[in-house]
Amino acid sequence: MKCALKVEEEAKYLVEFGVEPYPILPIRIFREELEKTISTATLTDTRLDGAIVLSRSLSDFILDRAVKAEGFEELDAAGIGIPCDTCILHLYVGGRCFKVRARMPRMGDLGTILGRRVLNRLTLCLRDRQGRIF
Amino acid sequence: MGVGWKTCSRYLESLRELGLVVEVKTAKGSLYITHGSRRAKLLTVPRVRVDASFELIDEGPPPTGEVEDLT
Repeated sequence: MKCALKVEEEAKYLVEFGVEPYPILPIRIFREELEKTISTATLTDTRLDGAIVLSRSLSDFILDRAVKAEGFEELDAAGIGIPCDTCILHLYVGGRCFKVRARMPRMGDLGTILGRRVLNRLTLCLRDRQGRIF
Repeated sequence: MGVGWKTCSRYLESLRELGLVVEVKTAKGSLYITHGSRRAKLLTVPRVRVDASFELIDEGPPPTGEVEDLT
């Protein structure tokens, strides 16, 4: 069956020794108090049912310089609760803009992870090692 | 942590009364399992950390009215 979709934007895989390559997406984060726009990359993780988890450095930047935490939630990571501050952000990805609740772990660093709450709104294709798109 | 079994048992019972766990009685005692959690779930903890770095750019937000609310 031939796919009628047209590739609008092609992101890359993150390759690291000993780990199967991860698909990552470029994102932009807006928040009025930040004055500037944050540009970064995020791991696409279909096993996260939230919108986005922010990396340690990004969380520290947002909380220290611009925004106070607006809530608290525990992220359930395979049965282990990770305490997270939350705040509302505007997220620009795949040519679309979303208002999301971002989770910022109080401990540790999970990196920046984009979950199904956003991914389910996008049409994502994966390219295999032979270059075919699925 | 210095918490005795009775305290633990009372704590589990309080969680059951709050509806956070379900008690399953067996021949040898009771098991408590969580159910109906509304927390976001991250089922795997990724080994790769993306992205530790970020940059600030001058580009402004897109015009209002095009934002999908997922909160």
